[in-house]
Amino acid sequence: MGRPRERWLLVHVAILLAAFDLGLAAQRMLSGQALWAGRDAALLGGYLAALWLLHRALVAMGVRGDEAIVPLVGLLSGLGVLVRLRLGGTAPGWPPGSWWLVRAGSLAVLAGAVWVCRRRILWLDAAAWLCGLAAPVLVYVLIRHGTAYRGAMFGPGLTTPTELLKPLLVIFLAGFLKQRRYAVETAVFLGIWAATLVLLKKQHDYGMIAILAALLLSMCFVASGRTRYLLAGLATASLLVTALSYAEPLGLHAGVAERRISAWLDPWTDPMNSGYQTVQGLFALRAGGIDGTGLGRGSPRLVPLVESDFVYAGLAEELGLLGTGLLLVLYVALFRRGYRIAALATHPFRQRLATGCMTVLAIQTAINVAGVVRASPITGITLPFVSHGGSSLLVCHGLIGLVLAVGHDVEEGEGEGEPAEAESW
Amino acid sequence: MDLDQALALQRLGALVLLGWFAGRVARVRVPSRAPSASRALLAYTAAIAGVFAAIFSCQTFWTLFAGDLPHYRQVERFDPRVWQLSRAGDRRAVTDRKGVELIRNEARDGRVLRVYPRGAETAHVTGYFDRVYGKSGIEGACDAYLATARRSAFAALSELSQPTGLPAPLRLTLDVRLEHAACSALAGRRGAVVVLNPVQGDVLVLASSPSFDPSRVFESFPELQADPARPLLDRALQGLYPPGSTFKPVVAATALAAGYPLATAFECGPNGYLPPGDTRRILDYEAAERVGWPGHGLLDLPRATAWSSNTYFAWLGVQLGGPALLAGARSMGWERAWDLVPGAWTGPDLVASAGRRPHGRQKAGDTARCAIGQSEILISPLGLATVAGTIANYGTVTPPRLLLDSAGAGGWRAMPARTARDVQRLMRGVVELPGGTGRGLRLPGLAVAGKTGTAQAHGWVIAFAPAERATLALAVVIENGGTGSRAAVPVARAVLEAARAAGYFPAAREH
Repeated sequence: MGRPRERWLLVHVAILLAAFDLGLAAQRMLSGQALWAGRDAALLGGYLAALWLLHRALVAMGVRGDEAIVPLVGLLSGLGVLVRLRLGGTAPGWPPGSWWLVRAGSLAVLAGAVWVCRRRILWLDAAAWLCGLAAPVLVYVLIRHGTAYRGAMFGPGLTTPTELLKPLLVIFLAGFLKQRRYAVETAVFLGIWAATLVLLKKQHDYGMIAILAALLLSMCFVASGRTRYLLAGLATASLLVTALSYAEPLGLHAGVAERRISAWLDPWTDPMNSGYQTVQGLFALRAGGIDGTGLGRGSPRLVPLVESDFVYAGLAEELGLLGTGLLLVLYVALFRRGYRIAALATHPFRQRLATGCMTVLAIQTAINVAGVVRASPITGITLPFVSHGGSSLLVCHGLIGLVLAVGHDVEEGEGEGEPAEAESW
Repeated sequence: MDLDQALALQRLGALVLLGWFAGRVARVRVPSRAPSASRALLAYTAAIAGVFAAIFSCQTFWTLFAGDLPHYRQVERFDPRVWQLSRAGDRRAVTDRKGVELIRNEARDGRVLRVYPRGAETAHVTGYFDRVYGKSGIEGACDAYLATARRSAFAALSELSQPTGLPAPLRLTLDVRLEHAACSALAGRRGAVVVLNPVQGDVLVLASSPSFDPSRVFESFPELQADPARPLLDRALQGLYPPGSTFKPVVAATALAAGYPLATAFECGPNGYLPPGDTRRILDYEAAERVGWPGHGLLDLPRATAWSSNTYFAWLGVQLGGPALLAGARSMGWERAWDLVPGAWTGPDLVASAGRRPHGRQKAGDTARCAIGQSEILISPLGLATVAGTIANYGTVTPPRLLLDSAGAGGWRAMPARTARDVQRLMRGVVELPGGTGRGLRLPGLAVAGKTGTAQAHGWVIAFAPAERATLALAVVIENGGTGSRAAVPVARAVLEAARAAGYFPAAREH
């Protein structure tokens, strides 16, 4: 019987989510709103059953390694389910029930990633250049297909293929940052990154650009141990923001990025238009106060995009400063556990891959929350695991699956019969 | 325990559950073997935690302290949460200083309505609360406090001990008995009455006329807006009028503080005073009314004040000079936009318009007209009541306040106590001396001090009583009502009589 601590923590997750759901139902009953208790319980119960199946699948596969990551992801994703139930249990523009299938499906993706990649993860090392080349091609194809905004392609359904850039470029980086490289290789590497970022700029997908740029610098720092990468990144980012914030007052071309930065620096002069989302998010924070209005008692619908990009504002209103503080603690706990797996890995590719996956999630979380609390401009990316979404949910769970696969290999005693790698950098 | 409090317990429970889970996770052991990680990875992990701590401190700032930022307060009215008035108890009641209800919630046909039992009498203070036309007055200024759904769980639970089980009402410093007397005396004429306690700054009456019924704003708002009498305008706070002769005590105080003795004399003949470099003579009002009036003759400060001699004060103002005169007015809070609901609470409501004054470099003629409260000088009734209160309070300016349970802002000294006592005696003379313009304020058994004024057909009176230990200071203005002594004094008298009946002058004796 494997993974007893995970099972025990999952019981806690179930109790916690059920208690939140009961509170939501009680609040609905007391304030005379429509009561969907039966349906909500069925959907939440279904989600918990899927979580249980994931646990059983990991046990059946004999997966070893960290046992707190799956409960943490399960709780965060379960909070996402609760948010959806709290907002009425339907996803506008989506086929009925599809959001639930995505939630359950992303758990399946997690299990699938572990199943495929454990013991075989070094294959990805071999495919690194392929993944790297696929990245700009993917964005280019999307632009040629005429989806100008954030890569949302509506042909096969509501998908955001650019989300795939995250695993592709993580694998590419983990494979590239290997040993001392030739100048030509480095030039091609940088060319691929530059091409991807420039193509993303055409789509105004600044959130993705920020994630990928931060990923590149963080991975360079972790792989080399040189602080200059982080410092250079910080300096470039602040220079860029400063330059863009002066672009509009100087009457230069006012593009999407400039508008977002000026709406961030000064949302007050136009609170009903450019500053609308920022200001409404701040209203939600303030309405929540220290302990929140209580689940189901706030007015999250007043905040635009509260189900996806601004879900943190809705949570801050209903759970308050304390509740969202605990939420951030859970996120940081998740990241620390992921980085711990990376630290335990002896094979450098595994180490870099796990680091890259966790870094993507950590940066995405930080950028999303910072945008809501006005610590940075709004970039239009989701909060991992909690936000409503399709591709982004699947990819986030997939990244966790890769990390768990690394963790399994680490526990199995990696390195036996594996080709050794030259010391990097 | 009401619904709010039950739900407060529930949400605290949810937080405890989350914290419990975080603790559980922390206790799960990390897999075996010591980390062989590079120092860079450990540093990076710590940096990520630091980034989240920084973001959370930003969130803490916006959650707890955003209300202190003027920018934020300016846009706060775009927050639609305020309109969620679905259940009784979602908004606090408001009472006067004695606990008489000014606003309460009432259920009618399954809806909860805001009801204003004193109706038009307190309409400008209570304001209105309407889904279409917004909110004003206390409903606007103290919105964040009145909306109990926004209070924290701790606040909700701390109110468990309320005897009624309802959230504690907001108590104002108003006194509805005096407010009723003031509104009855105004009798629908255009004008305003402000009564203060000069020592604490408590606003006892804030009456503006004509008024409106705040419960019926939804039906009548367009007509109220179109009404030429402008019933929605809070004349007591937002009305700005030339003070006329009620400015003369300020001139007298400035002169006395500058060392002019009470006996300062000037010959006030029938031809008035011609300021140097000017072509228009400043005449006493008797000269305009009575043909062949011989003039007051030689006047000193007490008699000039009692008879309200324009000639004398125009001359005195020119002697003092424009800058000194205006500095004197400013030190008494002339240019302050008094905010009746201090900082952290407030929206843009219940703030008095700041008084205006000319720049200090005008010609002697303008200074002379300014000294008799004409020309470019303007003040709100609340501002002038505060000036009267400053004199009554021996020269210390006490900022007016409207919330009984919040400490008022700190005051400051505008003139020496001795000067203020002299001005009190001058104003006492206005009521008591034969021929004084404030004779109508004589009340048996009560020492009233006052000063009347008339400017551009608006009648003013300011007064305080008892003269040397004042518990009450007031200002009355009647628009286009004729002279102050004819139009405004009866209103002031009615308010003073109501105050006496209400026990505001317990130890009053005739001096």
